[in-house]
Amino acid sequence: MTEIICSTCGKPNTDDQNFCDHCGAPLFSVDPLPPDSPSLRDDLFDNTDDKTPAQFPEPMDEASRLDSLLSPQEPLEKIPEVTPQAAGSLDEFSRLDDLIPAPEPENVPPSEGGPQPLEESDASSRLDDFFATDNPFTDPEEEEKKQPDPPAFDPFLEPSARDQLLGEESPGDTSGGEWEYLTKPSAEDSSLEKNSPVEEPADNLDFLSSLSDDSAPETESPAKEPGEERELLTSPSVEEESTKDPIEDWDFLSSSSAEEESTREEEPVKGPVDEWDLSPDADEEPPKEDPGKSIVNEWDFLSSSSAEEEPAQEEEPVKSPVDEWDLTPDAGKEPAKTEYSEPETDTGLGLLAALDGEEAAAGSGQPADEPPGDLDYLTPDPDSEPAPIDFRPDLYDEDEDPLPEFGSPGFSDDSGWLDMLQDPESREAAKETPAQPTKPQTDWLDKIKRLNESSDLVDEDSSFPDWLSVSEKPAEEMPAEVKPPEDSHPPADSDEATPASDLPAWLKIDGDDESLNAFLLKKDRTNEEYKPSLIRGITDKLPQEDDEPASGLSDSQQIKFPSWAEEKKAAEKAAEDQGSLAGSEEGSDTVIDPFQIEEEEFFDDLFSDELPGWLTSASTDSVFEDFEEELSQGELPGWVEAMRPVVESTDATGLSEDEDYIENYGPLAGIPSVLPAEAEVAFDPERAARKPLDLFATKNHQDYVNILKKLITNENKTKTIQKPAPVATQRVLRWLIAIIMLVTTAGTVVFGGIIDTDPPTAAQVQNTGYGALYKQIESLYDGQPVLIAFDYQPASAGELHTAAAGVVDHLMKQGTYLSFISTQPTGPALAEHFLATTQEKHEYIHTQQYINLGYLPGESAGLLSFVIAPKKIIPLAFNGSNAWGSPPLLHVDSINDFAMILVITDDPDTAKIWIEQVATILEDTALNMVISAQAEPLIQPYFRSSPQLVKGYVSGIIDSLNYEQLLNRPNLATTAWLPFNLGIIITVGTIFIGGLANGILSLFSRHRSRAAGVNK
Amino acid sequence: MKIDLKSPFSTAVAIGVGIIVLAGYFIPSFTNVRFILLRTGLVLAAVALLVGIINLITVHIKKLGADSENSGYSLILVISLLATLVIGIIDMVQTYLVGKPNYQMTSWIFTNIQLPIETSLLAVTAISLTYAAASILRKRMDVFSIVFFFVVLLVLLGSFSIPPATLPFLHVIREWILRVPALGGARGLLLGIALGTITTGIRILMGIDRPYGE
Amino acid sequence: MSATGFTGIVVIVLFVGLMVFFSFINKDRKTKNLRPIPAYDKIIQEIKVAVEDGSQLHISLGRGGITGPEFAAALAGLGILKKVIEKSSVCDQPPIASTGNPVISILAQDTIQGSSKAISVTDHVKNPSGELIGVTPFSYAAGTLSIIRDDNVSANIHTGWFGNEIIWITTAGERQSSPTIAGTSQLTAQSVIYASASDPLIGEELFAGGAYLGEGKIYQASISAQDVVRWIIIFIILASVLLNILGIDTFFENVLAGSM
Repeated sequence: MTEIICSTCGKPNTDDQNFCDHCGAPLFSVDPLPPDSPSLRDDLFDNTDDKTPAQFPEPMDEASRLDSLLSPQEPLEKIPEVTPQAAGSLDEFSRLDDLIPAPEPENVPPSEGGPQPLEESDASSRLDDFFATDNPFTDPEEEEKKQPDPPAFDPFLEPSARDQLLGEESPGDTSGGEWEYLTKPSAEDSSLEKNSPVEEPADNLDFLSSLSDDSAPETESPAKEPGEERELLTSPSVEEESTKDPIEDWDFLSSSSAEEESTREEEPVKGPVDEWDLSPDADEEPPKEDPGKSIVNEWDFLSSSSAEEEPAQEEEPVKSPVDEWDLTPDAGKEPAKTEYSEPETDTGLGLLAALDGEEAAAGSGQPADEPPGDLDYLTPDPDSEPAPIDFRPDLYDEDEDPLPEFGSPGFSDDSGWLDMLQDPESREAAKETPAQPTKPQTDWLDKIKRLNESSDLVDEDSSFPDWLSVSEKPAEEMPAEVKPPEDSHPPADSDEATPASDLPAWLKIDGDDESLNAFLLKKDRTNEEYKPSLIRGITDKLPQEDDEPASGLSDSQQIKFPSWAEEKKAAEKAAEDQGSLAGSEEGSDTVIDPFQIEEEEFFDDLFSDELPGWLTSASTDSVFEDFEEELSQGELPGWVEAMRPVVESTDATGLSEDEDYIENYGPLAGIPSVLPAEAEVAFDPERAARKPLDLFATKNHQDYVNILKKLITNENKTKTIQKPAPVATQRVLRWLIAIIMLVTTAGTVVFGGIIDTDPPTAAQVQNTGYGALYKQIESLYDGQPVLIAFDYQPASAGELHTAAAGVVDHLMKQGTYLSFISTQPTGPALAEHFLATTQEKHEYIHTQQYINLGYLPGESAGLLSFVIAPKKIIPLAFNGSNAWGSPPLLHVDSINDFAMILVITDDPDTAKIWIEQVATILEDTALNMVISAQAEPLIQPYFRSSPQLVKGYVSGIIDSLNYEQLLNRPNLATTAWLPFNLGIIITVGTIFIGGLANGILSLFSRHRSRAAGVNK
Repeated sequence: MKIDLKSPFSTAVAIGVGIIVLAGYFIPSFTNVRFILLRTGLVLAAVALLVGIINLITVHIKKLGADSENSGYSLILVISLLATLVIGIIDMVQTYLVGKPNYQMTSWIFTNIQLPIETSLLAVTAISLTYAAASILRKRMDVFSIVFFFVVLLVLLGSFSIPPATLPFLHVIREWILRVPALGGARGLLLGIALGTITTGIRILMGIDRPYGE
Repeated sequence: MSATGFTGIVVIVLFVGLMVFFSFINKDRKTKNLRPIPAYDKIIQEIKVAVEDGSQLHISLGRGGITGPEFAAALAGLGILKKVIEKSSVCDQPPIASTGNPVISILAQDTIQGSSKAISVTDHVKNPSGELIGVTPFSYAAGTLSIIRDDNVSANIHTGWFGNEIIWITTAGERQSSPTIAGTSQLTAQSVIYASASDPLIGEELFAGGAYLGEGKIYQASISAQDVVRWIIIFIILASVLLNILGIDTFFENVLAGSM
């Protein structure tokens, strides 16, 4: 690797360096590129280019990033020594020339010994090439008229150094402005030769030293002050030969650049470059400063006086920003375009000159062949359009801090030392050319100025040097070309948000770049949020949560990406979705201008690895919801992208587990061995679904999958629960049984007769219930009270009436008085019915032979109470008459006064109640029962037990028949005997046959079910 | 602070009354109190009958408004109930006014409507029982079902007594079944029911079971 | 005090002591040491089916009154009603309760309201209600048929005091192909239930509903107490038979006759 000796400090540097590591001076002279030569800008924004990011340098560190930003893409030629004699030669200001191609001189003879006009075109072109191939703020037409980059110039030398350099220069000499000393080759040469290289802080001077580029000169040039004589601190020869106006590329540093960007009628925005106003008469209106204050004046660009001079320059013709750099003695006489002369040792000054010349060329529409004469081209032309600054995308990362708003009020027409750098010729050319809203090509200084003008966030007392400060120029002073389209709306959430119109031209996005759009599509959303607010074309079309008007830039104002960025164009929807997932922030509708940042922020962000604040805060919320619509992709400027250390990874999805995996998206872009940020958000389900799965599935797996699918699909299907088939109720059998029984019994009743049966024998009667009852009743005599309880249901009336008819008849035959009582509500009625249907022949009269006491409530409790105190419990009869005064109850005071108690019931529990409640209290009174056949098993123990609680009973029709046979008084039982027996026969037959059939069927069904179960 | 006295008061009353009535069975000094409480319960039971009838009416009146298929039956029930009630009131008034019992209309309703209906229902029950006995082997096929089946047949055949076809041994078998296995099983069931009744009563006396609500 | 009274007191005290004793013993026992009764398993199963189907359960409490032994069966039916309501609280429709006695009807309504309140079922429209169907057995049976024949009723549970009219209810359930779980303390009805119901509850199984449905430990303790007393009675019966065989039976007869 060869070493390059710095012309300024004399120390060796590697050949890959463009600027000296020690003093920051450019190492190479900036050769102006031919007009039709492809510039970096073209490469940056030309998506058809095959350049890939990999072809660009590797990401640089903080210290060298700015250098790289400012250094031209192509290695510059070695900057020859700048001698006073050779002030007009390009060698003297080779460094700046390399950066800022000097414009072609227009019949401007090279001045001898004087500062040479800066070739604005060369300077511009060089700067343009330096920054970007495609300047978003430059029109394509302007690119064709690239101005030569101004020679390299190191305006960032400390004042002491400059004083040394320009000490011989008379401060009162207004010809060259305050920065005449800068225009004098002798001073420069001597300073460059004699003085030791001054190590300047990189943050102050390096970036300007590397601001020179090889980009095409910009047609636009910032407004320059008339008569400004800011001479480029380079040899006039360099200025003469420069064909570009490099100042245009530095418009962002000059307020006049911003002024040029805005409408001419607008008040020029003061920029920090005003503080750079090194020329004594940087402003025509402001008074000249005393010589004693030459030092101060020389550093007017650091003072705020230049800012005050800005408003006064609003009506002044547009100057080329190079005017501010016009360091030639006669720079103030006429706003001639300063010729940029290639600096010798003081490459920084030469750079400034180149910048100034570029601005002048851009502002005035200078031809590209304008040679850089003096440093007038550095003087910003207020009337000229600010030259857009080309950016090198590889040098600027969009995730880095954004560049400040160089179109801020800090810049003004009185751009101090920048004007001195301007080629007077270029300055004039910039003045002559009408102010057109063209993209600034190479007038990077003007761009800086414009940026400063557009930014109003930087405090003047910022820690940043004034020449880098962002002036607070109102947004309306922004050039028109930066203004957003008419249909777009500015963000309404931040007062500091600079509308798109305030944005410098070089930040404008060229929406025509399809490759950029594709690139943006490929980018993830995290990148989107870091994009500057310039991407308003996207935000305009995206749904906003609030009712804020959409803001967006036109496609022409969108940021373009360099050609290498087109590698990333993978038109994936996921990129947009990812951005909405990861990057969208609710409520953050703020679209902050990228250059509306604090000065501190800018430099901090510029050299930090973190994303600039304006990029992070510029993220919109839910703005990427509808990416299916054709949205114009936001374009970041090339220099923004250039700062991103993008490393192409093999896995586009970022999910590679390879150790060499380098993140492509998000703030960690370029950093290897990190967890993919888009592991979750970057997943495109649609795309993933389309991806074929290389899975090996066996047949079983497939079956399981099919089962699972079936389960899922059938989940919502309602399954009708099939009830089990109703058990065949065998209705036919039921009807058959009913018909048979009805027919036989009915026929028997209707057509049948009485069956004569033999009466039971004494042996059969003995120890029977009916026999005992018979004996008891037979012992009763006339007039004895008998209590009869009718405790059965009306449904059992058929059986019990049949069973009790003979017994009651026997009692009536004996002449006993009957008392009816019932614990059932229907008992009294049943009693009356019974008497009326079965015992009507006895003609018992109520309250004479019988008394109906009615209903006894309370069941067992009531019965117990009645047993204890019958008169109290039932004082009246059923009809309300005095029951206890009637003959049946005349002699009854307690329950034991009854001769017999006969209970007629079908319920064994009722019988038990009577037995338990009454029988235990009875003394001599017998308790007898007429019960249903179903209750006989439960009552019989009471008859057969000892003590015998039940003295006798008649159970059903059978015992009633026997009783009637004993009584020899046939009654209902005798009549019902034949139907009863037939019914039994039919029932037995039915049960037997049906049971057998069902049993066999059940056995067969069981066998079948068992067989079926075995088969399963 | 809301204090719900319903639950503890109801529980205290239930427990206290139950203990007193139970003690009245065993301790003679509590007999009078027991009778008082029993008579009070009897009155409440009669009032409960009235409440139940009113509830019956209200339920069926509600069913009249609802669009249900059984609303017609509810209408018949309500009409029948009201008609019977009115007729019974008329008979009572006439009896009171005349001084002579005159429940002809009420008796006619009972004799000609209720009694035949219920008697018929019991007759149909006989058929249902026959069918149930015939299909018991289809429902469950086990030893006890078979025994049940044959016992039914034997008892029925033992009840048959037509002299030419009378089988005397069937009467003996029937008698033996009724006296021994049936009686023994019935007594065992009754004992178990009695034990369950005792535990249920004790749970009420202890306040564990609260059928009167929470 | 008579022998009967004394015997009664002894029995009551014995029961209380055994219930308390077994409740303390079974306090920590989580498993139920009970013989399986298919009828209660069926009840739980039908509750689950009702929850799944969104159908209803019909619970019939019979026509037993409060003044006789039939009241115990009615109380057992009320306990089962309470537990069924609690378990079927997630059903779409609450269970239907029907009674044949006005007192039981009032108690059923009270139980329903208390159980519904406990499970936070405040929708009175959906709350079940204990309806008085009929005051006579067959009128009660006839009125219950209309409920059973409702297609929305998935199962019928008849626990209480029933007579022979239970055959109507169980037959109607068979026609609807809905399972019938029935239990009563009347002997004649038990034979009918055994022949016609799908899952009968015979004898004292009706009073074990609380223990099998998870009412509490005291219910299991009461069942254990019943078993103990049952064994005692068995022992006494066997002993009496033995003594009778030995000719000592008259001694107890005299004792019992004297006490009574």
